[in-house]
Amino acid sequence: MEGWDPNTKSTLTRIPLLTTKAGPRDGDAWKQRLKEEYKSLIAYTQMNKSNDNDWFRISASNPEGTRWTGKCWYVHNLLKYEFDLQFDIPITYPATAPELELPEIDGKTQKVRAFFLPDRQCFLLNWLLFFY
Amino acid sequence: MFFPCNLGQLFCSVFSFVGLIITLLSLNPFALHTLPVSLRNPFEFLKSASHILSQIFHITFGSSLYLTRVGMESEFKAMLDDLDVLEKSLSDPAPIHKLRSHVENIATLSKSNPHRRSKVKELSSEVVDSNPYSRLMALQRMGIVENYERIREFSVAIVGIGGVGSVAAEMLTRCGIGRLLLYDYDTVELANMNRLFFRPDQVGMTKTDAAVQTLAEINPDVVLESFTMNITTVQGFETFASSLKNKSFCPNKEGSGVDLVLSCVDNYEARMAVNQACNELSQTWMESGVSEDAVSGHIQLLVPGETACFACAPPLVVASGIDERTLKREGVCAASLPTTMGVVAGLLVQNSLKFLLNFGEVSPYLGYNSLKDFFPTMQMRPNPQCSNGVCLERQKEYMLAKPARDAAAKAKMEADALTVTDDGPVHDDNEWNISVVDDENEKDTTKASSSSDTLPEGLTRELPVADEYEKGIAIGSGEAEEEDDLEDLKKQLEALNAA
Repeated sequence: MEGWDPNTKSTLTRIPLLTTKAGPRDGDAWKQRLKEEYKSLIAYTQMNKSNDNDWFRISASNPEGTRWTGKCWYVHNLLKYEFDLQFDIPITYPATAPELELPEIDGKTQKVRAFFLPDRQCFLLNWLLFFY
Repeated sequence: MFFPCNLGQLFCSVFSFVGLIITLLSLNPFALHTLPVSLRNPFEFLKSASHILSQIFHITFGSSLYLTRVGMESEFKAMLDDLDVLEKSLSDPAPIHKLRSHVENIATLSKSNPHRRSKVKELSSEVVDSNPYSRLMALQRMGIVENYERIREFSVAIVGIGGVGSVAAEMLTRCGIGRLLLYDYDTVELANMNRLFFRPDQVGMTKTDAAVQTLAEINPDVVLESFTMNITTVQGFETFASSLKNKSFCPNKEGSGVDLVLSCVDNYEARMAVNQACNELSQTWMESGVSEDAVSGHIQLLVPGETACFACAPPLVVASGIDERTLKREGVCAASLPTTMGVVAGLLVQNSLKFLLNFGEVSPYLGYNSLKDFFPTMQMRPNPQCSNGVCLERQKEYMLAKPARDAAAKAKMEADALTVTDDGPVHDDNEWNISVVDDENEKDTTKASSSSDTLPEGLTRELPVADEYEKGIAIGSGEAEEEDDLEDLKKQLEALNAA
């Protein structure tokens, strides 16, 4: 956690940590993990809402909880830019992080991507799901 | 009712075709000679000429070289037959004679193109120019490989058909490997042209399709199976694992359906997926990698339970908690050189051949630093605290099998000793009374004492000795105190999302 900015750190300390180390192929352990993922997601979304810095919606799109879809957005000069957000949980999760996909800006120039996908947000979500 | 319409269309097409033919003929030196003929016998000529022209066009400019080469001979034959018919129907056969000679010239030119050879039943060691295996079978005569023909029984899976994987696949194909399984989800891009194997005309094809196209042409004896998918997803992994288990190629083989898995991927996720599959199947595999700056690389042999698995010793970048993707940003890409990739592919396949055909020493790890031409080798033992549960299981199995392994090694040593004593003295006379003093035992004891237990004063061991399986390490399964329902949690999140 060294090298993280204080905001990210303080956010993380207020999210329930995940204790089960399990991936999609671990059967019941994965179900347990999924519950913990949900709990931390709920806590984080609630926190975002109460702080008025809500920036994404995500929910499982299959019963196994291995594919997730939703939206993420960014407000710039009073304009809201919203994009589809999707990712698969790799079988080696949580040893490896899922790769977030924003299909609508895939292939756009670096400037567009850097504008709409601030690293901070991308990493936060990554680590949220990754941390255990 | 439709007649006028059809007729109109017919006229349109005929006229446009006439225009095309006249344009084409006007480019021909003998166009003026043929024009009166076409007036005399217009329909016959149009029909035959268009056929011939389309045939020439198809053969000369056909988009797929492969298809034209296969059907070329029969096409030329048909064309010459057509010309015969045409020649008989014309009063002035001179231009047709010319056309005929041109066609014959093209036909002979096409014959000089290499043909696809037919499959061979058995590898022959006969030294003739037409034998694709003579140089490989010579390895037997040179005393390097005992039985090279065994290579046709082996199946090798290559994961990642990029700069290293594609070259490795070509090398194994040229060596006459029995079966290759190829996995990749990417397509060929112009940015890949600084590496070997893929050609610019394959841009846009999936790497697996392009590889199968080239490899099948190089050696039709190799059974090629390709899988265009991402092995890190749940579904992709299932397909990957089941394809490794499939034993249809060699039903009598022990263990899985392949003899070796080569990982030639460019990211940590995919390596971990290969690691997981191979640990689960107890499948020996080899890892390969080229550094981001394109000047160094490595290959590593991984035998589940016996050597370190990929999770036992994660790469420095992962161990220090850096996200690999921060290295791979848009607009910044990894460097690559065909040289380094070719060298690493060569090292990888060389090690694979030694492993499969049982010659030389198989390197457990071989590094390559191109800046200093330094090739470090080392052995990596499994980590008794590995984070991968299946790896720990394999380690346990390996420990438990130690007595049997020791007995086998001892029996082999005794057998070797027997054959040595049978030989008798090499020289009958010993004029200078030279004798060999046995110092093996002395050396052994000093070596053992210095390497096993006693350490110099002030030094302690950081990790436990791995010769015994440690039972103490259990993965924290983390029993939850409160029982929550997954559906409830789902609904909570949905409610939150909807609000």
